[in-house]
Amino acid sequence: MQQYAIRRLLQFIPVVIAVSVIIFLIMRVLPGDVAELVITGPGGGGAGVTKEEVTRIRKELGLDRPLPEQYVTWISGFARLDAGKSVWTHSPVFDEVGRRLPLTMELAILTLAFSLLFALPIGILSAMRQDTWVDYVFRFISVGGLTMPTFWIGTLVILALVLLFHWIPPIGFVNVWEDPLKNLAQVVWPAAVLGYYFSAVVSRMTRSTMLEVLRQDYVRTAWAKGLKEKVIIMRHAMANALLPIITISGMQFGQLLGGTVITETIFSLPGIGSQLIDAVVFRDYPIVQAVILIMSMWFLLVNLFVDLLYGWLDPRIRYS
Amino acid sequence: MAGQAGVRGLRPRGTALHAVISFALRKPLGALGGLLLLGMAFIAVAAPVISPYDPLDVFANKRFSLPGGEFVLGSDHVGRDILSRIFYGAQVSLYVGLLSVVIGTTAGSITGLISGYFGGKVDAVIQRFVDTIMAFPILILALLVVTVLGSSANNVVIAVSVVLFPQGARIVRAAVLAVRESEYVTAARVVGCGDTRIMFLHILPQCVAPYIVLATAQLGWAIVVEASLSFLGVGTPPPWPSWGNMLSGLSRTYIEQAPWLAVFPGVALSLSVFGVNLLGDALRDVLDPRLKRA
Repeated sequence: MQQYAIRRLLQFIPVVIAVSVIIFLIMRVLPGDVAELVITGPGGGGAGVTKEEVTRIRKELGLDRPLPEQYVTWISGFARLDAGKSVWTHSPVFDEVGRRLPLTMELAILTLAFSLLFALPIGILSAMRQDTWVDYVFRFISVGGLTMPTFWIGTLVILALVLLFHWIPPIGFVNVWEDPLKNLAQVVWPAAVLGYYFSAVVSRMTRSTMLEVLRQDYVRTAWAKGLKEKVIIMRHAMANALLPIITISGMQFGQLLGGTVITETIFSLPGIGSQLIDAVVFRDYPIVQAVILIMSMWFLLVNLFVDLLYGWLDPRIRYS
Repeated sequence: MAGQAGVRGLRPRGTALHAVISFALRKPLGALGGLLLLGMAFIAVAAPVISPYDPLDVFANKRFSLPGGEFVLGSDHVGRDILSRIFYGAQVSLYVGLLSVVIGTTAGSITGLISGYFGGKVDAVIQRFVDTIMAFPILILALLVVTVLGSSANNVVIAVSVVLFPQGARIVRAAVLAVRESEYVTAARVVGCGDTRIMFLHILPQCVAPYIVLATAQLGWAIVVEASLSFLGVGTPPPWPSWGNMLSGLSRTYIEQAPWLAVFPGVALSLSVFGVNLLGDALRDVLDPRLKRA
């Protein structure tokens, strides 16, 4: 297990560095001078740009120093919790992003909960009643989650809410510490929509894993012994099926942040997903860099955690 | 193909047509998917001919028309015919989808082929590179590329190709590793075949099946990613219709007065992706029954 863990950690570090370099480089190769873009603003064009202003902005943003030095400044800045200032609002990036990050985290966790809530029962029941109408209905439902793009499901949900319940998209946003119920009411629908999408993958995996496990000899023995179906599933089958399910859920959790971008935009939630889109449109590159870095780190960390967890749970790896 | 069970009444012959017919009979769902995909392709190609109106034509006095009547699917908030825009949107989706799969999956496959065949240092370096690309969540990566390059259909193609690339590399590499030590490969090497010849003549045919399965699955992904990017406003630039940007911001604002603005593009999108997925699943079942059926 130790060897496995060490190897996994060693793989992790160069990828993290490579990812940060890529993010850094991409922002620096934006076509068009970044300094000019900063002055002319998101619409482009407009006020005449003088050479002195461009030079001044370049100095301010540190763009006139050699690339490697810029990279080091940026990275070490992160360690000191200083990621520069947003070019749009001129407030520190860390504050801006930090303010919106908790909401996205909350959305992500709630989505994970929903997706497991949908996926596990559906997958298990599907496997238990393979090729019956129950199976087909459930498989159809889960395929729906995969085929219909999240933004469409979200739009349909909003449509239903608006038409059926005369629900008005909330203007302001309520913090969870201030008013948990209202906060949940705002987050539950986006979480359900996103959860449905991710549950599609997990439920298919659950179904196929369970199918495999149910064919095993020890399960057949349990049947022969006369154990009740519920006991067999819960005590014998689930434990063995859980490993791949956990792996897939973990991978999905990592991808979640990408999904929150769309969901937050649809439901107008002020999380880092919608912040990223706004920053991209406004060319607010410090924010874009910071948010993408956070999301990639999140993804990598979750994958690392899942790999280590898998290594610990699977006795074949743990004792090797 | 002689003696295939299940192909009733057809004398088995080795033509492509019979492969298709036997496939359709064995996997009706896959045939349905194929038909949906063909329908979408037909609409995309024939859009200029079958569209009642020009997709960019604005009828300012006929905004928000209900479906039925003059505009079969209604008109949008600016006054353009939704049906025509959906037809032309199929062009974008298919163009971006097919092109990015051809570029991305093929580039990935060739990389996987090289990586798996040569092994050693080459393999390690290439895999690190692939891992790095896979470190980004799919949409984020596409967003990053489009941010740098600017919003246009072609740049979306590039972005989606980059996203699809690592999966192709991984899967083809796995197939290559499985085949590399086979006896016929060793025999070819003993006879004196060069590396290139072995790779493309002997190993590549074994990778075709996973490639086809992967390509169909990725076509679905490509269509959805393009729609997502357009929805977010960074994909196909308006006013040119893409099913994604028809669903974006403005149609949400008017959703209460004109729900059909949002419904029809979404239906078109879902049907297309559904068809592609059905076809992909059926192809996978037929080409590689060893793969777990999900």
